[in-house]
Amino acid sequence: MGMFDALSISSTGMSAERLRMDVIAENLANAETTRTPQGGPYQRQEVVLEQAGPSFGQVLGGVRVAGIVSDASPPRRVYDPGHPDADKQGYVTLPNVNPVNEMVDLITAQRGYEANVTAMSAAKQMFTKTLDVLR
Amino acid sequence: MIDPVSASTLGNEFQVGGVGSLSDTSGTAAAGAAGSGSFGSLLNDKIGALNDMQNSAADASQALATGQATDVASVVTTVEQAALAMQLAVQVRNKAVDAYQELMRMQV
Repeated sequence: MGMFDALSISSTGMSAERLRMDVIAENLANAETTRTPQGGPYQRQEVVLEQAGPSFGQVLGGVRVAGIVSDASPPRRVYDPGHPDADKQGYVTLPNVNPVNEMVDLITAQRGYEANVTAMSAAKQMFTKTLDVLR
Repeated sequence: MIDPVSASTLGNEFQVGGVGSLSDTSGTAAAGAAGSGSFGSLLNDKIGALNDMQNSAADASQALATGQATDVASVVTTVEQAALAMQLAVQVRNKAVDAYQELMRMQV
């Protein structure tokens, strides 16, 4: 248990929440994207987190991103015959992104980030208060 | 950019030093004469570790200023760790200077 483990752990949490924020921004930006390099509409991406193993000299390691996976739920189909990517029946296949869900995830990531910042400043205050004993 | 190894060794060795001085009060004079276990060399090691932390904090700040840093959180953590370690070192120095001045003021 080092002196600054709490700071490092909160830092990993902040990095993870920031990556979640990035992925949510990607989902929102591609909410209407019908063309991707792999073909077909954009697929919603999701971040998977895992507990990080402790590095040398630490007891706890914080959080780590295990990977970014695609959401396999079915895409939306909307009738829009004028769209260039409409099929023979006039239906367009749109991404499986629901902006309402993404906004809720965005708030979760934001609050999670704030919680990590609060934990970090609390750890810093504890250390400073302990040093005040020496004064 | 974060250097958990130096931070954790700093913490561990402070703990080891604290516990060791409690159990080894009888051998303090002998240990003070020996090179490796003396307070002076311990202080020297710690100041070296503190210097490493300050250097990595400076590197991280520079990376952030030049736009090379991608993770703001790790930069903030590195700088905060260096600042807190410096506060601890300053408090230890103040204690040492106080002890010295106390001895100098002593009526003989």
